[in-house]
Amino acid sequence: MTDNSSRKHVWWGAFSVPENQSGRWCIGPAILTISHLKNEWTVACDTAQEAAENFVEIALGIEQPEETGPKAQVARFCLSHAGNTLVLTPALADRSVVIRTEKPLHVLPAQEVKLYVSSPLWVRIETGDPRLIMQDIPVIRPSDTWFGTSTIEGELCYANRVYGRLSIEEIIYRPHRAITPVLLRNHGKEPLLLERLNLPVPYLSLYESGEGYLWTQSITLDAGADNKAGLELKKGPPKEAKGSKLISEPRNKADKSILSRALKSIIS
Amino acid sequence: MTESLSWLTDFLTPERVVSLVRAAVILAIGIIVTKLLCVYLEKILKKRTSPQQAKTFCKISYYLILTLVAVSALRELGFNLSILLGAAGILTVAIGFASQTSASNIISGLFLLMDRPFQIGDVIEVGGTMGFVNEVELLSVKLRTFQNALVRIPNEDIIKNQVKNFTFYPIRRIDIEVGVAYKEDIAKVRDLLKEVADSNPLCLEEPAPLFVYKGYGNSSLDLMLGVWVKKENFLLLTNSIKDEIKVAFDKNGIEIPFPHISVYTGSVTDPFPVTVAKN
Repeated sequence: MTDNSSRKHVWWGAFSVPENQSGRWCIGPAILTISHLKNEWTVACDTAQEAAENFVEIALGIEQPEETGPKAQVARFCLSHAGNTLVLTPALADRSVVIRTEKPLHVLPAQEVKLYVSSPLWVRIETGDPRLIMQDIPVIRPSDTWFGTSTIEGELCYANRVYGRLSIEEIIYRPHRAITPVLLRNHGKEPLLLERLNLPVPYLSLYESGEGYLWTQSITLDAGADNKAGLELKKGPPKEAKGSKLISEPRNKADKSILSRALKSIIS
Repeated sequence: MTESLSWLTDFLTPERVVSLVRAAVILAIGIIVTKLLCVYLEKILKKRTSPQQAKTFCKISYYLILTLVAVSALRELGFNLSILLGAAGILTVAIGFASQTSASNIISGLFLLMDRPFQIGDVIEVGGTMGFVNEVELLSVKLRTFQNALVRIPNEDIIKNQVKNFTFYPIRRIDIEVGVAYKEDIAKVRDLLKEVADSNPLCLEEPAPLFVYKGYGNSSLDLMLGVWVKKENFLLLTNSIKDEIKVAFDKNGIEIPFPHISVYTGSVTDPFPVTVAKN
């Protein structure tokens, strides 16, 4: 049995928003206001820079929502039926995320290390029966970045600067990010320099731990001496996420080309 | 009248009627089958080649098969093929001489298809004309300018001139020229520009923004900020980042100078003579 008081940071799930009422979800600095009108839902996304990174607040039954800021993105969705159910589901990014450690990290030869890195979350807003996706948007829009050997060859990704923590106790939980355990194995004879790591999040599943934290399946990266890298996406939730359940399926299906690549296309 | 009728009845012998019907059937079925074949061919080719290559190959195939169908229909009507081919040869030479430009455009079109310097939807500039590639045909390339005008450029001109494709690669760089007053601290301006680039999510983190100290201008220190962007967001970032730079400069008291005119009275020491006019 999970203690609900320890799950205060859970902002996802099914909610009832009757007609002419609104709900507001504060997820870290992101503010999501969803209003239910006759045959219509209005979704407004805004940010509050002063809000704490781990702040979560859900307010339902609002009759007159506050005015959205000038930079808020507002979208309207029309439906023929009049259901009150609104489902918010966290999901991983729709492109790979380039994890950049704040300081370069060296993995010495014949050593292995487990890193805990976090990546930005998306929110899928659904309604109706069967469920219809109204929006699939980033909770906080990450910066774009390019991961490649040149400006001609490479992949468009999202940028993500992390500390790269080595211990689970040091992890700082943020409601708009999911944690991925990455096991790095250096099979080479030279130290493996990790400045940037291309995390293929569209191929990962998202799990909710018993405590209500979000984890992805773990990844093992084998860096060989021949400049090849083997990527293994471990099945199921990571062992760190106790009592977890699947919350979001991978966006894309992983194939061989994703799992076996040149080292430079994963680490740089 | 009776003469014409008798000629018609003489001409339309039962054998000739059968041949005419056969030729018409060959022609009708031939056209339908060719069209269906080309649609099917285009579908397959589109998966393996670019849309314009598929379209051109299908067009060539269509006219080739249609020529064969027409030849078969003529043969059914009793025409001598060798005479027909001879006449066609002479005709081709005559047409060739008369349409050298068209032939040159067709050959240039084939080179363009092989070379593939651009595709439908790309933004290109040819000889001062800039726009989206709308169609790539054997004779010409059709561009849709940003003002929504159609520009037809003969393929020969494209082969001869410099073509700039702005959307060939997935990312592009926007170069923003900024001038600041001579009194400003360049290190502070550089940090501020970097901060502006970092805070805009459309601006790529890698390749890192480029800062160039261009030199000492007439009225300002000339700087350049080069930021990389996903090609689809080019215009969006061009506008937003310029706005953000202006806001950041205003907020931090950094002056963007503009040319000043000093009026010189002809003497270094003498003040400029000012007369107050009275009503």
